[in-house]
Amino acid sequence: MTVPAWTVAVDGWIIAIAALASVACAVPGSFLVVRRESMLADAMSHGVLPGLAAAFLVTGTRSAPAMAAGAMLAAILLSLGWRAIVASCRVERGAALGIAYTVMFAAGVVLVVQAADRVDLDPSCVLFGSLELAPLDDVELLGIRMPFPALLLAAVATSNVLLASLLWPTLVAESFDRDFARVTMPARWAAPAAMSAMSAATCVACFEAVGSILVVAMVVTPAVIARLFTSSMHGMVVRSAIAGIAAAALGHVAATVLPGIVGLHSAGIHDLSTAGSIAVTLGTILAASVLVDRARRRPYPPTA
Amino acid sequence: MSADAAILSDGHARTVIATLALLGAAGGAIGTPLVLRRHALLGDAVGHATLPGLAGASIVSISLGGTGREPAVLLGGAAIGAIGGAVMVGLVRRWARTGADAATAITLGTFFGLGVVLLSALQQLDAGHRAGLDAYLLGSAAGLVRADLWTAIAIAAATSVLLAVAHRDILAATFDPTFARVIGRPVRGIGIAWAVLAVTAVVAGMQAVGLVLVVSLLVIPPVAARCWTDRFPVAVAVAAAVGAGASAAGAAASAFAPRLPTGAMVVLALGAAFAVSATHAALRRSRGARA
Amino acid sequence: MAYDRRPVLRGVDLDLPAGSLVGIVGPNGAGKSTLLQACVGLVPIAAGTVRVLGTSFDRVRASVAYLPQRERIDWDFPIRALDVAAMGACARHGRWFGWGGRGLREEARTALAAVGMADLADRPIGKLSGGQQQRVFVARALAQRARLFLMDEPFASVDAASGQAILAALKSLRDAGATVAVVHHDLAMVRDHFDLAVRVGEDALRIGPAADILSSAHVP
Repeated sequence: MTVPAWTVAVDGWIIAIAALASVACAVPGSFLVVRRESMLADAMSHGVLPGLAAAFLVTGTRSAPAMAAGAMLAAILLSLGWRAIVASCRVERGAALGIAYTVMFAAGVVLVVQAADRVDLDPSCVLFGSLELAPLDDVELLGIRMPFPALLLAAVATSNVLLASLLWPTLVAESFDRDFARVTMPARWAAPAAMSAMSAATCVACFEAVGSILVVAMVVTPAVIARLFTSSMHGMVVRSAIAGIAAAALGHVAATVLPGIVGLHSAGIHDLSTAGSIAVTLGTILAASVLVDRARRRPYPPTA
Repeated sequence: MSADAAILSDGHARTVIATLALLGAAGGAIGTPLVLRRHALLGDAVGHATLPGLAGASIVSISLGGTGREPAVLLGGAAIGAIGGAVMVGLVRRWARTGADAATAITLGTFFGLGVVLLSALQQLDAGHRAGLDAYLLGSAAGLVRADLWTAIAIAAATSVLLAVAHRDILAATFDPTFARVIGRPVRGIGIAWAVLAVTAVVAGMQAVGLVLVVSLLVIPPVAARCWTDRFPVAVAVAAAVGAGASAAGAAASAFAPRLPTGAMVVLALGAAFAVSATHAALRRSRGARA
Repeated sequence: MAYDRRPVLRGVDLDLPAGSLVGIVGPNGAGKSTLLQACVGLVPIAAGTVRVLGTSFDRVRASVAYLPQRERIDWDFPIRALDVAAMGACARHGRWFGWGGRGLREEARTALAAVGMADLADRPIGKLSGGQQQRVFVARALAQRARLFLMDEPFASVDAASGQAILAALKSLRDAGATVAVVHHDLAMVRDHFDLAVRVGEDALRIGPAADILSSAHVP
């Protein structure tokens, strides 16, 4: 078995970026799950496409900050459009979300085709992203060179934690009992607005690092894993960050080491997609957690 | 002969429009109970779950000496992935004590992640191979053939038959499955049959519309239908009509503008149909409130 | 008030005095829930005005405790009984931001004790019985120290012990000067324990002493 050529610089940053993404996703993910709005993460990862395409069309380049800005605008548009659809028709939130993001994605595809003449762009790259290439996007902050996605994710993670701390009673109360919040709270728009803002920022930041579809796995799965091991909201947030970080490390190790172990080197396969591997690792951790949970809840056999 | 007539008399364009119209109708009918059961986005998970199936089937084909692009193989893999996705959503929902939305998101993310892993392996096996699978990502009407039209006819027929035969049970299972089960109706069987229909519609639809957007065929027509009626059988019929009309319009539009992907045009047409329906509902409500 | 095209409640002319325990009764679908929802602004009003505590509802939000029917709660939510009751204290003090809140939790414990739930304060809401859950929500309303309580079927599906605890809490609120309006289906309890009754009928409301209103109804 050949040991893969690990370098702290590249592999360390890959794991760090994924870990930062997990921390960033912990707060919005936990709240989305308890609010039964998990699919917002999936919707946002699709709905950002018109924002990206517009950024290409407007700036004529693929610069990361422009893309992030365009994606953010699209995500906010999606949030507003979704809530507008829910308000205007008697339709449940999941269906309304489906309408909003598929229409936006379709519009995005049309825009991308228009932009493809001027910028080298492939719609499917939007869906996959590439965590392995992330460390190559360096920026410099306070004299330290770090990949741009890492900086972005650290910023989003920090702002999520701060926002959640500031709005904690509002978020919990409104998530638990929307009618009570509508009647009693003076600033009852605060919780949905904060949720939209956090979800949008997190999805956009993660998209830069792990590709949009995998954002879904990183936002939702750790929160569901965490829920099995705690019965308080802040316990859930903390545990989902831990689960995500563990999956980030294990996933990247698996992606680089597994082909060697399973003997795929002879077929020319040297490493697998880290982001995909992290998503599968999260699914595996969930399966294991479910088994542990079921074993824990099995009633003791009655004494004779 | 005008340009429009010239395009419509083109055999292939007719096939595409007819196929999409039938798939749209079937999707609308199949999606109505799903939306009413608050499980609208199941089609999203099933659609994305086809990716590992596609990639896996391609890998198997290549390692057995094939090209990795045989449509029958790929669709077989897609179907297996889709079934796995549908099953997993149910399992996660039951065992992880979580709602339908989280179960759908987890299934979607995990399966798609697996698909991405397999794709990365596939790319190293046969460089540049992903191009073949891209057609399934965003759809390609150019690839539709007669066989797909027959498949669409079969799906539409099966849906109609099931609805005609079991519509009371379907209604009961949609609105009060506990009651229906208690009085002995085959709620489980209907659920499984419906899931099979949904999976089949998704796999058939993703060739033309792409696995990302195929969910719109199952979600948008039923929601539009709800704006017109409160009665379940009427809603199913209206959803089928909206789905057929919008899909045909979208397919026709993409025939006029071949650069624009069919899937996108169909979804935009569905979105327009929804906008009209929602406006109608809003007008009706405001007229009523003033009375 | 109207849903879609059909008005649900017409000819509502209602004046609830302070310091009274009012039962709102009537057949299903008559609009009892709608009446409460209109008072707190959850349902649009087609014509007329709602004045709460002498002014519009928006100004006195924190002084009104509304307890809706329990259908829309997700009982799997990771939250303890204490935290639910503490939301009422948050409402009372307007402290919806920031961390900390030991004072709020103390008030929540007091409110829970008033409904006999003090020793179950740390139990997750999903692990309580229906009656206990309902008592926790009543405790939340108590912690709000509101002047007006609007409760929609607080006694629905509640066991006898919880029902007694809730009724005792409502009476003590009334004694302290609050107005407590409760949608209720148990006509006997309304007749025997409540001060006033509002009968929501097909096209009118009647209000009067509980005994009078309910003497004409079928009360076992």
